[in-house]
Amino acid sequence: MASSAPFDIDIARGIVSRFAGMPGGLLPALHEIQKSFGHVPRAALKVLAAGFNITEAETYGVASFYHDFRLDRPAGRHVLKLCRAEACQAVGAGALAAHVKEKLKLDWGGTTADGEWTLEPVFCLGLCACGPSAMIDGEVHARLDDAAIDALVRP
Amino acid sequence: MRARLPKDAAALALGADAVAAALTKAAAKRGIALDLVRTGSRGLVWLEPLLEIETGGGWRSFGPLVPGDADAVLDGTSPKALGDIEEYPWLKRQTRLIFARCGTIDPALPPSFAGLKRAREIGPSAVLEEVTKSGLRGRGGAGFRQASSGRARPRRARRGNTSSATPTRATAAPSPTAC
Repeated sequence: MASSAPFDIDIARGIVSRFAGMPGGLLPALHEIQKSFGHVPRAALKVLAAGFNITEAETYGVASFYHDFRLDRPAGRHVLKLCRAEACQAVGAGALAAHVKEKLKLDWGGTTADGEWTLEPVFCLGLCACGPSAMIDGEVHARLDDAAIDALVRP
Repeated sequence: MRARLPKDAAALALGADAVAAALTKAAAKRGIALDLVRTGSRGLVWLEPLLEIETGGGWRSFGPLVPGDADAVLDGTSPKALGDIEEYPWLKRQTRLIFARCGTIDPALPPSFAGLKRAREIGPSAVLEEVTKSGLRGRGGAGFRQASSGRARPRRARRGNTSSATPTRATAAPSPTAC
């Protein structure tokens, strides 16, 4: 799904310089960084801090507040987010999650050894009337059961 | 043949795009010119994807559909026929105002601004008159009638811009002392 070129400080500086003068430019800059490198590496936080004239702690604070910014490493080729919120749990999301974990041999936040799948929890996709629901590479799927998820997730 | 099928997140999550593709294919096979409007959901999520097609006897609904249902729907043999969804008890007992057209129109189509056009034609006093009749209240929490708030706005705002659809805040003339 995401490209993940190795971190390049010149590319990062170029991105930051495009957004540094913009009010509220930190978030779009973070998005661009993640788009380019598949995640927001520590070195990028330093470049952001310098470019926006804020502390590195502040860039870390913003980036870590949003779960969709990946701070440690790029995601797998596909990202499967399973809804863990109440409405989905009430209609079997727990059993579905157990099935997916077993199938992919993953725990939350993990990526398969071949780099194909990353499994993440998500708290509400707004599909409470038709759970259990999931998002795969940005597309939503609902009313899922083991068979339906097996058809979507082929390891 | 006119038809409606939602394209909101819930309908998409339940496979509405695949149903639309199957319908298009099944219609082409039968030489039916399908005019499929992708709407918002009427909210009967347990029946999504919920298709509505126009027949000689009015609109007829089908759901929850999977792509394999397309042929039977067009041949009139589908066991998922629900009749006119607007007569469905869950929907019929509701009075929908803001969402009245949700389910019948494509919300992504550019708006016609017909209401704005009419407001410009009838002018500020007539607009205020209609707003008074509607009983519309502000959203600030105090429950002020929107019409009172409109009337309270300085007259020069209306005089200066007689075609204004909504009475807007008066723009003060630039003060010589303002920097």
